[in-house]
Amino acid sequence: MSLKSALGRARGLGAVGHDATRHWIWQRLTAVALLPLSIWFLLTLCGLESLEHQEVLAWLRRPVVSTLMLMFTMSLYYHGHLGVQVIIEDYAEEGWEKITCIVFLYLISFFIAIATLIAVLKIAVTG
Amino acid sequence: MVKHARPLSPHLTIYKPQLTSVLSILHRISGFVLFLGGIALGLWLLALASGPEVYGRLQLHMQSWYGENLLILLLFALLYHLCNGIRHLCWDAGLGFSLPAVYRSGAAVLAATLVLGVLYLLLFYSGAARA
Repeated sequence: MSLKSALGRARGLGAVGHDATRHWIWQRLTAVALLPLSIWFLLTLCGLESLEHQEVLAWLRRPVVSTLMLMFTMSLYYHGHLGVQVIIEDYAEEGWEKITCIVFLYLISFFIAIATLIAVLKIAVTG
Repeated sequence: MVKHARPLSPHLTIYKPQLTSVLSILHRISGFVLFLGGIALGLWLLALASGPEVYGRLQLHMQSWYGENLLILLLFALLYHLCNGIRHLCWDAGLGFSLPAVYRSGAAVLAATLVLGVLYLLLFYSGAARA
């Protein structure tokens, strides 16, 4: 027989032990941030004269545009990462398959976030 | 690893499709498509920073028939996920939970997605920018 109390045995089990509240809150916070940011993204694309290389570079080099682009993409990747993680948790088999999928998802998310950060900063700083 | 005998999500195929369930799974599907679209956006920015040659090669794909259709699909996925996301946030705030309200907001989301999508395409192609 365990000497642990009922509360002690229950702690760390289930969703709360895996930071579910933080996951839930950040999914909603990024969702709210993405409402204006994605509308900005769609409208700003319409404002471009063309999608030629020089034209798009000159547009993205503007500090306001690079800032909003980084806010948009980072919120998008974080929100997308949380969403896809839930899809994997719901549908993947319990065990190494699930772990592999989630580790792979982390790699993809970090890769694309760092690549975007470097690309936008490079354009913003050096052109 | 300890094996917990916890249930997975219900198997959707045993249910008759309804507006509510179809919109629900569409939110997931559009969300996943948009994650892929976000990665594509990141690669586009990476190509932009890498120089005109790399960017030009990507532009060729974006301007092809499949590229343009994929971008239009992404536009509708974004607008649907955006509108239905507002619906979800309202539910989180405890609003619109009655069955008639759920069906009404569902129909509104579908209508808004179609109208906004067509308006956006008109706006985009009437401007100087050509994808």
